[in-house]
Amino acid sequence: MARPIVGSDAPYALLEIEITEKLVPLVLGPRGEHGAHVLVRHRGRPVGRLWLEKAEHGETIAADRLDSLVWGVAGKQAAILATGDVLLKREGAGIPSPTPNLTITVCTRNRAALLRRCLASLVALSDGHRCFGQQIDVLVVDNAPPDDKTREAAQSFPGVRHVVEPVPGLNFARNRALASTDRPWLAFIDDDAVADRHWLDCLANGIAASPDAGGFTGLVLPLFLDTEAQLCFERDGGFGSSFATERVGTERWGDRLHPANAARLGTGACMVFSTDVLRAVGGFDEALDTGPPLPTGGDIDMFYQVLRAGYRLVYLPGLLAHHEHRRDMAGLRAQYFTWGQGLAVVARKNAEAEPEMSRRLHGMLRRWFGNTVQRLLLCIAGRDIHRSANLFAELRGGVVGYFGEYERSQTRIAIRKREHGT
Amino acid sequence: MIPPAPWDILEIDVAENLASMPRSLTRPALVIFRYQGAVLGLAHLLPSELPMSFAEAVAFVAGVIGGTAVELAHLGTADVQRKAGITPQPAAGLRSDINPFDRLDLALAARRARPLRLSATIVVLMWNRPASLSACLSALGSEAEAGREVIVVGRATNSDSNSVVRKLPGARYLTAPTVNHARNTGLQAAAGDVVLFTEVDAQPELGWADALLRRFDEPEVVLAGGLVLPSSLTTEAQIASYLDPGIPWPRLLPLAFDPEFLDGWRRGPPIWEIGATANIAVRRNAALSAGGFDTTAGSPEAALWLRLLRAGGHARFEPLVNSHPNVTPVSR
Repeated sequence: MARPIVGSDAPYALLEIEITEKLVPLVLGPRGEHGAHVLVRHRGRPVGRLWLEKAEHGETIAADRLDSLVWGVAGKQAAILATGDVLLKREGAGIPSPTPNLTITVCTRNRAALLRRCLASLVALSDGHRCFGQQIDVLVVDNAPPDDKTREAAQSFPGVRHVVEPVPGLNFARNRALASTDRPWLAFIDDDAVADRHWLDCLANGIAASPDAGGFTGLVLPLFLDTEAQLCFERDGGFGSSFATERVGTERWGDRLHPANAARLGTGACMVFSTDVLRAVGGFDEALDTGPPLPTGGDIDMFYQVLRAGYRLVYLPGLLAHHEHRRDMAGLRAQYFTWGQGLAVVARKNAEAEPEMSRRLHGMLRRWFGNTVQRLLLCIAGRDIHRSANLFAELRGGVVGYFGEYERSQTRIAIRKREHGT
Repeated sequence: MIPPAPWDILEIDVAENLASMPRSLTRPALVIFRYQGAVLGLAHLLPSELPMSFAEAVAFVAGVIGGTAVELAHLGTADVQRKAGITPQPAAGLRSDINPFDRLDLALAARRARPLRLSATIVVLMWNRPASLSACLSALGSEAEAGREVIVVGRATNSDSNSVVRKLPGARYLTAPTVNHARNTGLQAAAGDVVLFTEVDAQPELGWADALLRRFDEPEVVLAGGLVLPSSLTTEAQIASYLDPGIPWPRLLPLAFDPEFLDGWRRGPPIWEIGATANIAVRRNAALSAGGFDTTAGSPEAALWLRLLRAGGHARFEPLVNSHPNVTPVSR
């Protein structure tokens, strides 16, 4: 269990270590940080992460000590990648893959500053990959814009397309993106995230390796750890932190809940789908991710739909996005609420649509509920007020979500669509 | 989900090209990846996970074997991982572009280059399933040809077993009243410096005895256990036995169990981790001095291993070659 959050632990520095290079002593907190979150890479690819607290390690960590810590968190994944590189080279493969025929979409509403930061990272990816084939298509879906600021931000990046989706709701925007592309692959990245510099290389290799995949998901790590809320979220697991590539289909060995637990595969902050597959499953469910009071569920529902339709999803840790987490505890608590809500809404909706999957979906909910209650009790016992409140919010969201939220959302979006004449 | 029986068992040599990866499966499969005979990893595959592209197959294989390959490579000439509290060294080789397989070649060669100075007796415990005797003795043919003594210990009632055993040159058939007595019967009748135990439903691989015997070139080593893999997973009983063998596994790194291994366990040391009589070797004099197998103990094997280590002996786990138990629906 993570250490209770009391007083101020933030900020933390965000650092990176390349495991193939000789390590040097690391100075912690030169600008007053209380510690560091270190992303470990093997030839640019993420293989692990390390939390270093100044209170535990002091101001300087010797190279030997750092080496041991890095090996502990990242040695196995680095070994796997090194072995894979050798096997590929031995078999005469391993050349750079061509740029995929791709539209990268940023669905956004009234957050021009965040959008500019995100687009800058995507344009840099595009420029960096220009020699490998065609240029990627970057699309901004401006959802129910109150003004022209989003359009202006998008148009300040040459070549970036801008379309408007008038009906408010993230899944309306995602479906607008689907209708606005003629490319075989459609990626989504959140406006409050930036793509890692190796994001496109990883996706290019992933698509070359698995051209028949229904979609790809990736790792989402923090862009900043400046506030207690951001630290609390990431310390509690954040958006997930698996550094192992995973390829799953309709069945998964040893997992009797699969694919009901597809939420573990990733998040909508960073996901890529085959446009043919998205169209085959009918696009995103407009009654999910509608904005308040149900700003959630669209991504995990699509993971489930893709798997149930018989396609594979591939989790690639190198498909890395750096996300700006909620800065304040109130916002974080609301996010936990929506997580529970989304999980329950999607499970309930799909159990009713497919009664044969009800056992797995409810089994997943029971496991989630049991685990969350257990974590909550541990936090209460440890007098960890913030985490207790977050977990309680998550449970509350689950209850609200399970009992009729999907039907209420369907009613709301029917009204919303009538209002917009669609 | 754990798929129902039957499963297939596939062996893939990663020293060769990966074209031997199956394109399709008709049944769920346990895949055993080897490099120069050493097992580097085990994985499960469902028919729905195939076909894989070449790049997917490489990622799959690397994911299964990568950790073990690099850890084995970095054991180098030390060639055992200390069981008592010492973690593997940082992966210095990963700092550069050194091919982990080059280092692995050296590490495996070092293990196979240890001298063979001691004589050996192989004791086959045959308590159930006498029908498996022919296959087991056939697997031991090369050991008998090399002049190693083979003793089969079974029930007095297994009257045809004697004639089956006689077909293997140099082999003898002895009887004992219980399976616990059978271990001691074999131990006391053995003439070799080291007694290698196996069971009648096991099929030791070629070179099995040499790999274990080489571990006794250090005088303090009195006990050496080996890897046990399934040879058939066609029944639910075989699958249940494979999934819950009663010992931690898969363990693919050579391990050292020093006397310090016994210290610091709240509920007693997990002595069974060293191995069991399906695939284990013991220094005969040390075992006899320790009183042999205690036929009244709940686990006579674990009781003897414990006495041997308490007397200052060292144990090794050597997974270089393995013994396949051919588990039948009858409980073992």
